[in-house]
Amino acid sequence: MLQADFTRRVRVCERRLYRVARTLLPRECDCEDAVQEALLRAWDRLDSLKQEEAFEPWLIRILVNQCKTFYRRRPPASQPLPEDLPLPEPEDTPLLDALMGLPRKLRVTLELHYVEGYSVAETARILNLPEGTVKWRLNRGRAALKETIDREEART
Amino acid sequence: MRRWQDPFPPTPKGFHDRVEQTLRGLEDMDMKQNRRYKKLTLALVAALIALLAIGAVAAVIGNNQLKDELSDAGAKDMAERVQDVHLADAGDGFNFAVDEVAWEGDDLYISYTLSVPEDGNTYLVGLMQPTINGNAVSYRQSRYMDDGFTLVMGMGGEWPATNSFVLPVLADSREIELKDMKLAVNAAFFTTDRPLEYVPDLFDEEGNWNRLDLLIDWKNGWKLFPNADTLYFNSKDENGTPLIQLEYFPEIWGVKEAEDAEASGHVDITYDSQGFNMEGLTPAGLESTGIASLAAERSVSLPLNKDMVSHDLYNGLEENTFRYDDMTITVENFRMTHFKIEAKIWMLPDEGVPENDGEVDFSRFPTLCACVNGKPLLDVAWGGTSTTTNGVIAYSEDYEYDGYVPLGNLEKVELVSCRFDDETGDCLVEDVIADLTPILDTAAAEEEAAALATREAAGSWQPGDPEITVWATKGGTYYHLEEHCSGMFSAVHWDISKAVEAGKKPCPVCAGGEPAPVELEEGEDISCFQDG
Repeated sequence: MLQADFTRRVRVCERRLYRVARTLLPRECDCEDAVQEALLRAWDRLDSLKQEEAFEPWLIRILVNQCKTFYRRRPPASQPLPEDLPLPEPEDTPLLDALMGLPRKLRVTLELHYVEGYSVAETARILNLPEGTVKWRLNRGRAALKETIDREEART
Repeated sequence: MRRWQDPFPPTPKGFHDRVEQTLRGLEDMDMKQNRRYKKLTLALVAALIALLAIGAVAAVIGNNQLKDELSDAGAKDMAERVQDVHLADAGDGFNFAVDEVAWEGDDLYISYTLSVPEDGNTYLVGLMQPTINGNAVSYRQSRYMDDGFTLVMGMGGEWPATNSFVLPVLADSREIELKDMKLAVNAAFFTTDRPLEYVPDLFDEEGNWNRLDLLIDWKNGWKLFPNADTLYFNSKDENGTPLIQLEYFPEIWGVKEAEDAEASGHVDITYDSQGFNMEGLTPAGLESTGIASLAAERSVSLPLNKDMVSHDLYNGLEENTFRYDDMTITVENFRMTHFKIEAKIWMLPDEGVPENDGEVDFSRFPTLCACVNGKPLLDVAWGGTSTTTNGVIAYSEDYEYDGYVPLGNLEKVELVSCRFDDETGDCLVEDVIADLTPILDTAAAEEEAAALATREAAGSWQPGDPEITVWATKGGTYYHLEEHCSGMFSAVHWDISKAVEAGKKPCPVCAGGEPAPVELEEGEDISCFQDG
């Protein structure tokens, strides 16, 4: 694959890269770092891409691994933020809020399958998991998501 | 499958910019490769012009920091391979001297000395990005990779007016294949009317941000120095010199990119906000922040000859698979010099990688550490990834010692498992897993020792010493041990006694000589390049 082709394909899936990184990493700055590292690694290891049509899941997989490295390397900040740190404007995003409230392994599985549209088999390959595990996570993730949303709706 | 509507917020500009920046970096890498030979020619011309423009390049007696530190660490062999340079660009009290050069593998280490007038004023001093053959190279302004952010140092006034540093330069692997190289290093000195104030308690005992708002205006885009009346800093080097980070100044990078775009028709320099592959700041960029005005610029350019540097000390292992705690440990990409150890380490338990609820159970894996001469190395940059090899999930540790401090004589290097003491934080060795002590190629080492002895003999030859055959041109300043030193042509054999009698001096590049401490006339080259 030529560099121009690589660039074009990355640009096509930029939005997807953001969503995956954001699912796994809560801090925007870490998402930026992770995607940069993933792109450099991908370019460096381009010869490991056996089928060009599988470029996107291959790149997503590298990004997921990179994100794992980041959250292992940088545990979530435990210190409280300064009291007068400006809070972001509240947005009405119940699905996203509920998704981000799930354990990381459930939310990335749900994100890849339901937002990115990868099949169970593709999701399993990206996450390096057996298909059965992916199905179990999807099942459990959906249930947890429904429970959270129902609870929120009841509260409001 | 029913897909959800995209619930995520719009892609932030920062994310998009980083993707574009990275992709542009790939383009630049390719363009750099294509332009290398063209640039080399241009760079040699530029280097010659730069040398002519330096009216007062004076040889000075500077520090021997690298040599001293290597000797102190017990790495005497390496200390002997450190090259004395002692070239300076000085004037009006603003001095910049390159003192020594040491080189192992891809990494070049330079010790340098900066000084500012002792007039009671405080100056900001920044090292601009070095170039090799005109190509910008990565560098660290301080000794540790994680501190590689762009820095200016506070000097003079109540702070030290003279200071010596070690600069690690990471030469492009393509560049180091060239035999002859020109390294150019520039320093810029700035005046500032802002007082400098140390903020030692940036974090309180619990690690909370305590006085962060003194350093960073995090409410308005995370810029540094929100209080324009005072320049706060929270980091000092070992000599007490204030180190002021500038990475949050977008003006610096904007100016840099604009300058490069204008000069070359494209943006050749990219900025990595994490400090890796850091590209340099520019005087104009720093001035544009409004905190300082340029007072002086000093530049030193010096030839580098690959022959004057040492080879990779050790590259690879005879055995790279070890057994420990019912697992197989494989050490890949092992590389060790007197300054650092790099490796990728894989650990594969016999029972396979344990999983807990679909995730790798990392508690099964030991913490690994390299141990040199019985001392565990603490400053390790390490991370891990789980990946698949031959259908089996393996767990790897990228392992690197980035301290850029001499590791000693490397008499005993071991891979150990360790733990950190809960109370003291000390690294405690639990088990020795493998002996990684380098085994030097004896023949190569003897050859190198013989070459070093000849070089020393040629450099300090006195009448009455055994005769040595050297190379020299008729009108050249130096005699050489190499026929084509630094691209020299038309050299013929001389007896060293005849060469000395003719007033020739030992070449500082190949014959153990030192540059003569003389004021050069305008237009005179400092190197032996013109001998041919």
